[in-house]
Amino acid sequence: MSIQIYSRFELAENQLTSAIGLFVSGRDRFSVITLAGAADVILSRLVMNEGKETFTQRLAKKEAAKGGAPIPLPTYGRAVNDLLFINQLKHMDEGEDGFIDLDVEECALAAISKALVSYVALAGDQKDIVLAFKAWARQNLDHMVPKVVRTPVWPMRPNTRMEPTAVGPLARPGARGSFGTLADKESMMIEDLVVEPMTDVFVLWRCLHWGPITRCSVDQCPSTDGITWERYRQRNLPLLRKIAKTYGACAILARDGDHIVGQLRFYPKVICDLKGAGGLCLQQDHPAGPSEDFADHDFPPLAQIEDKILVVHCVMTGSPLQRENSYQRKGIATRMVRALIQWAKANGWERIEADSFEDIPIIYEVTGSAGHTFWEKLGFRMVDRHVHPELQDRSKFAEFITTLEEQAKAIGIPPEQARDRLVMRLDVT
Amino acid sequence: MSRFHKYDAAKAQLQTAVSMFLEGCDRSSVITLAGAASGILDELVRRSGQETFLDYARRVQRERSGEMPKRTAYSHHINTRLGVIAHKHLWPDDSDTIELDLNEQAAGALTRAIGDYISLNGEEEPFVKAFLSWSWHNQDGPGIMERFRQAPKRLKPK
Repeated sequence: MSIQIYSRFELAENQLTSAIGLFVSGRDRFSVITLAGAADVILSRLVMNEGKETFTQRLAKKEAAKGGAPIPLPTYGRAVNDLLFINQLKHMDEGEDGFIDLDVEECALAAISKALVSYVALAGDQKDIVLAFKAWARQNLDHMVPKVVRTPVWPMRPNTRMEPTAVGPLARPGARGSFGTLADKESMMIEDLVVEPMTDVFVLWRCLHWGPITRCSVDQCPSTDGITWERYRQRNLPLLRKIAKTYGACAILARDGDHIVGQLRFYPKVICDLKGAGGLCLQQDHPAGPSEDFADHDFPPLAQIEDKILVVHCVMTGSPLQRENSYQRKGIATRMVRALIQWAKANGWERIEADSFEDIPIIYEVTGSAGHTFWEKLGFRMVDRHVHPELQDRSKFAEFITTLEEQAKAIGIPPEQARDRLVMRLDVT
Repeated sequence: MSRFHKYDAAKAQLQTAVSMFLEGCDRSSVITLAGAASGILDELVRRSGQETFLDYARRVQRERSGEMPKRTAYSHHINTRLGVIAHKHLWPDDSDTIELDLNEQAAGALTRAIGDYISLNGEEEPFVKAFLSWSWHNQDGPGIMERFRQAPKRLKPK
């Protein structure tokens, strides 16, 4: 190679392509932010040169419409870049301590999204990198993981929407959205979302299957055949209070105003292994749920636990059993897992484990369970895999297993691995 | 939300840049990542009390021209020569096209960043060794070493 003439657009496009390639292949997020940020500077100028409005101009205009004091565009642009740490990752000033607090995953995703808006304005939305990123988003953003269950109960007829029952099938109805437009991306953010551990002060004793729950509505249960709410309430409340009191928390909740819109339940592994724990599902009878008297057990304090391991039982956002779920695809599950990691670190736990599966579409469609990629994005690694106990008997769910294996084969996963339960683990020490 | 030190960000970006370079991936991205790493490593090397790539280059320039260039101005000059500026800025009156030698500039940007990284961490890590090995075989390592040996002491890094 020697001196050649390059168009500015080409330089930006190549950097954005690299950023997306690094991002979807799970590589370094700092590099993604820097490359997407550099590409966006060039692309934004080219958009302006074409007389079009840039992402930043649109944001600034929106802000001004709210009645705020007018902010000069360069100042606004710098503020947006600072929010994404684009400048922090390429400069270090004299006298600064050099520490940065950021959510690298979210910043990387946002930096790419921002640059893509400019790219699409110049090149349209049918270019390979746009399509590739859309495909990744469809597979990986949180609409794909509204509910991650530890012990799924496999439905008899795959692809059939299951009504909630006491043994609770975990079908996830509702369509996968497309990656969408700039307007969609802007609407992805939930202002003032609070993600916090659930203590024994307010106990969410039932789950979000039917939609967000408030302190007032938690005891107003939907009328559903087969679910004996009062019995579950009497079993779950003392149990969850006791676990929360012993260990500090047993769930992470995401709250939008008064509404709890996300839940991540977790338990110490020693409790999961106790007699009577069953699958610890709060809306099922033993053995899928805990026994009626499980709260009477003595739960060992943390200091007496040798293997300080937390197990993620389930992750749920919005209203998984409703066709419209406005709380999916907003990063809530990711934020809850991150909050759990922080909480575990701060409270002396050493590991977090979660069950997962291969990234096979029908797994999401039927069970709502996340593929391992969701956990790997958050730093988890696979430590064990084995055929899921519920899927060992091929004759039990023959049709489902056949589809599962066909889909696995189509996307390059050995069919014999399609039924595997993958144990994901994160060391937090 | 997690806490990082900028050193982590610089190292990660440099590792990615070396990996992309040796795999034959996009040179523009290599230049930008190596440039970003240098923006942090320069300050860290300075704080460690060692001579940075930039300060060494300024010293060489002083030997040649008799005048020590200002740090900020010379940093900008080097970033322009290495193509770093062209990959992260575009001004209203810039032309739509630009002449670059991307391969040469990517190698140069990496050489600068790796130099500062070695000042901080030595040269034992695999990605550093990999780049040094590439450099030795593709940038006339023996010839450069011979010229280095013959150079007067005042023109050598401290």
